[in-house]
Parts: sequence; C-alpha cells; structure tokens
Amino acid sequence: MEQANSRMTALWIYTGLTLFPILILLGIFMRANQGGVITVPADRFFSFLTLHGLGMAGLWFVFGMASNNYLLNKHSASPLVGNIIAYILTLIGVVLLIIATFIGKFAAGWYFLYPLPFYKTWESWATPLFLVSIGVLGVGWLVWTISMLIGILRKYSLPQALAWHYLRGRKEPEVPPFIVVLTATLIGIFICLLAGVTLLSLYFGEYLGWFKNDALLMKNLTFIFGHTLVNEMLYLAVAVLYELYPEFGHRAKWKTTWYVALSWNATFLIVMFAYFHHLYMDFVQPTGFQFIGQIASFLAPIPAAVITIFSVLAYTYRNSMKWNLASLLYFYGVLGWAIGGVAAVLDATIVNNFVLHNTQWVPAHFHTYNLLGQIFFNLAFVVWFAEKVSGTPFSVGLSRSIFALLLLGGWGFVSMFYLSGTFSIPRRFNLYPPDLSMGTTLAKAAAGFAVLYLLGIAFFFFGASKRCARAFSR
Amino acid sequence: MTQQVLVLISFLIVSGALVLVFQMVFFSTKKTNDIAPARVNRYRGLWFLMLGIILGVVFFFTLPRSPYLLFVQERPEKIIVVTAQQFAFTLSDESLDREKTSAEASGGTVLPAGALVEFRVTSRDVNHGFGIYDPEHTIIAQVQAMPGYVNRLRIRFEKPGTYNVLCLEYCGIAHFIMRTSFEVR
Repeated sequence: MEQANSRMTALWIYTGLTLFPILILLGIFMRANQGGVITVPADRFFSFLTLHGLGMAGLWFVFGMASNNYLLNKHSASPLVGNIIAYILTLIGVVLLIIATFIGKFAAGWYFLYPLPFYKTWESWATPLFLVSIGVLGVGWLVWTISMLIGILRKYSLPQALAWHYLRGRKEPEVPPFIVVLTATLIGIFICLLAGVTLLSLYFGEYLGWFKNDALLMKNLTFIFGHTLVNEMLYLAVAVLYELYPEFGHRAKWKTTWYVALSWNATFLIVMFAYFHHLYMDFVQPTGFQFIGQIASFLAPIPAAVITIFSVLAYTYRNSMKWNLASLLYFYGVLGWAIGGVAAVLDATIVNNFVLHNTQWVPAHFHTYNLLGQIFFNLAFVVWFAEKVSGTPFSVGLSRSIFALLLLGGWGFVSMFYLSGTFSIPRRFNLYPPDLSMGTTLAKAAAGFAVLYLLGIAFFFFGASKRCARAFSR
Repeated sequence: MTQQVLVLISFLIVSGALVLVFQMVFFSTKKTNDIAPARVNRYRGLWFLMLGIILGVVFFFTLPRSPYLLFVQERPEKIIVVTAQQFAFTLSDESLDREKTSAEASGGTVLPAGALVEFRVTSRDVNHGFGIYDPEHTIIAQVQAMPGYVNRLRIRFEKPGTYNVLCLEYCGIAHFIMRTSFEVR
C-alpha cells in the first residue's frame, strides 16, 4: 500500500512538473506579446489566457490534493481507487481542455463568465467540449474529495476531525492539526464543486434550449465555485505545511489546541462568503452582500495570520533549523503568502476596489500568494518527498540556484503587476493603447523575470525527477 | 497623489515590515534557545488584538465612502444611459428603449463640470466593464455592465477635459479595443 501510494504521488509530481513549465510558457508568451516583443494573434492570446488560468488553478489544486492524500495515509488509509479515478479523469479533462482551447480556440477566460461562452467567436464545438472537460474534472475531483473524507472518517468522527471537542476543553482523542485543516478544506471543496455542478447544469440547460439563465445568479455561482476553490487549494498546501514544517526544527510537532480548532472552523465558514468581493462592481447586488464580502475578506486573514503565520514565525525563532531547499521554500513561501494576502485585503476594501477592480493589481496579488506562496509550499513537499524516496538530498549548489532564480524571477515578475495596477493598466488586454504605454514597458520586464522563474523550475525539474524515479524502482 | 498610489504605499510599508520580521526570525536561528509557550501565547494574543483593531478601524472608515452610498441623498443633474455591446459603448441621454447607434452617440457626449452625473449602465449581450479614466489616464470610477440589469454609478467630475471609458471586464477577443470617451467642460 505504501509503495502504491508513493507511486501515485510520484505520478502526480511528474505530470504536474511537466505541465507547469508549459503553462508558464503560455504566461510568458502573453506578457511578451503585451510588451511588443513577440506577436500572438488575439484569438490565440485569449485561448492561451483561458488555458493558463484554468491550467494553473487545476494543476496546483491536484498537487495539493495529491500531497495531502500521500500524508493522510500516514494517519489513516484512504481508498486508492479514489486517487486513481481522479488521475484518469484529470488526464481526460486536461486533454479535452487542451483540444477546446488550442484547436477549438475556446477563449472565454478561466471563469467563462455567463453568457460569454454562448457568444462564440471560436469553433462552435469548442464551447460544449470545454463545458464537458470542466464536468469531467469536477467529477474526478468530487470522487477524490469523498475518498479522502472516507479515509479521515475511518479513524475519526466528523466532529472529532474538525476538533470540536477541543472547543469544549477536551483533548482526547488527539487530532493532529493536519487532519483538522484537511477536513475543513475538503468540506469546503465539496461545497465549491457542488456549486460548479449547478453552474454547469444551468449552462447545459440553456445550451439545450430549456431555459434562459440570470446573469447575476450565474456570476455568483461562477465565483463561489472558482474563487472558493482557489482559496481551498491554498489551504491544502497549508495543511501539508502543518505536517512537514516541524520536521526541519528541533522543537516538538504542533498540536491541536482550542484556538487552532476555532481558527480553521472559522476560516472554513468565512471563506465561503469572501467571494462577494468579486461582485463589488455589480451595484445591483444587494448592498448588504457587498458589506458581507468586505467583512469576510477582512476576517479571513485573521485566523491565518494569527495562527499559521505567527506559529511558523514562533516555531522558527531561535530554533536550530535545518535550512535546506524544502525548509527555505516553506519559510519564504509563508512570507509570499502573507504579502499576497496584504495586497488582497487592500483590493477587497470596497473603496480601493472601485479603482483597482480588473486592473493588474488583481493578478498581482493572486500571483504573489500562488507563485511565491502556495507553489513554494507544494515544491517544498516535492523536495521532501523526492529526498525521502531516493535518500539523496538536493545538492547545496542546485538548491541555491533554484531558490535564487525562483525568488528573483518571482518577485520581479509580480512587482511589474503591482506597478501596472497602480498605473491603472487593465488586466486581460492583449495589447495596450498608446495612452497606457506604461503597460507595454512593464509587460516586457515581467516577461524577462518570468524567464528566470522558468529557469528555476527547469533546474527544479532536473533535481526532483531523477529522485522521484526511485518511487518506481523500489 | 492618486488613490492607487496611496494603496501602493500602504502595501509597501506593510510588506516591508513583514520582510524585516521574517529576516530577523531567519537570522535568529543562528543563536538558538527555547522560548516559554506562555510568552508565545501572550504575543499571539497581542498580535490578534492589534490586527483586529487595525482591520476594524479601516472597515469603519472606508465603508461610508463605498460607491453604493455616494451621493445617495442628492438628485443627479444629468442622466446618461450607457449600453455596452461587443465591442462598443453607446452613451445617450435618451431612455433605454430608444435605439441609438454608437457612431451617433460615442465621442459626442459633453458633461458639465461640477454637476452630479448618473450613469445607468447595462449590456445587450455579455458582461462588460465601464471604467472611467481621467485626463491623466488614471481610473477614477467603474461599474459592471451586465445583461438584464442596470447598474447606476453616480459621480461628480470636477476636472475639465477628455475622459476615456475602457471596457474592464473581459468580453471576447476584441475586448481590448472596446472604448469610448466624453468631454467635461
């Protein structure tokens, strides 16, 4: 079982590390086109944009699920079949998605905002194929979520797994924070996927001519599905951090306490309402919902900052840490997560959103906590896993090169987004008009920094792939 | 100084503080010793309190300035109906039911400086954005254009000049050329 589990994890890692550079390349093409370095036709540009956005979200979601699935088996076995079904359906979904975007030129963006998919300027078959691909991915991930929840429920009851007994002052049975975070996140994922199923059903209903949908309802469903899923994928990476980070210091592993339990149960609830901040500029949405959006967006980082970020700092302070590639990625990943969070809170303040919504401030903040936060956490897991299965640590030279390239390339890249947002450069433009020529200059620099990040990932792939291969030869 | 620059400065100050704290903690691992859990919990409590107060203050000071509450007690002096459609805007002071072509209306709108203007923004097809750029090319206001709904944006233009309107919601492959302008005199 342990061997099969390792092989499945290695398979996910190979698939992910192959797709990631391709998706980065699409991003570089887009920024280089915006910078006037190369020319990508508009229809291609927007199909790249669609695949890049969806591909990255999907890739790091499954990476988070795969690493959690691997670690969950140390506590309680989850059915392997769930992992296998998810892998097969993910592959099928990705192939269909690539066909819809690359060949069919489907270009409605990652969030295919209703009713844009029906106003097609691409192949007519690409829209239903795209919706089917999302459906296939959703079914695979729903099965996987249930399979992991089964694994948890084999050992703990649901209230125990959510650590409710800690809130009542009891500490038995002992539940590791990893299980608490993972359970709360999986339930959240289950809810978003159900919203996704509803959204797709409504699309198909209209496609078949049964009814006409309401644009505001569809917008709400799109964001509760997409935005919340992206939030949850971050928490998947944080669950792994809770489990692995203490391995790099000499102090005892973290234990669940009442405030850890309260924090993650609260986060699970709060995050369900934060998506309203995507609808601030829809003034017809009831004003109360807009205010709930700002309240939830302000409350969501409090548990994260007070519990996780503070705990990482407190754990590290004056601790004899073993600094290697994995622990550095974790530590500085927490910094990236925190800074991305600050930028997100600023944008989620309604008065700021009034002048920042759909400018490049938005990709700035999510690229910060994804590229320099959550992806660092996931890469740290890969290093930990690769070293564990191979017994060979990453060399100091390779580790330093990877880390320097990722930091320099990543921070340089997101800085260009922040500056663009500050100078009112809109997002999702393939070319900038002469009155916004600053966007062109910044895009050119961003493409250069992204190349450095890509180089870091190429080195990483080299280091991780040969070590992960040992999972198959053992 | 624009609001965007203020946001950037706030962001840089907080991020700079975070970088300093992380670097200090990183270098502290050279000198190791244990810290009492009670002390850690005390700091955690203080941190929680401080963060809660900061966010609470920001919340209560910014909410009344939100666009839904701006100028609600006043009567607009000028009403402009904005109809967005792939890939152009129609600006008109006629009712929504009257058909007007974009060629006839766009570029020809003149608004009085200092007057309260209400834009009634809707879409005939997909979601669009209605982002107003001032003569210095800085966004000063925006609202979404959504099919089936009318979003009302109230704004007072103090500065005379040419204001550009850009579509800020991705609406299809010619999204980047969707724009119009009006004059404030």
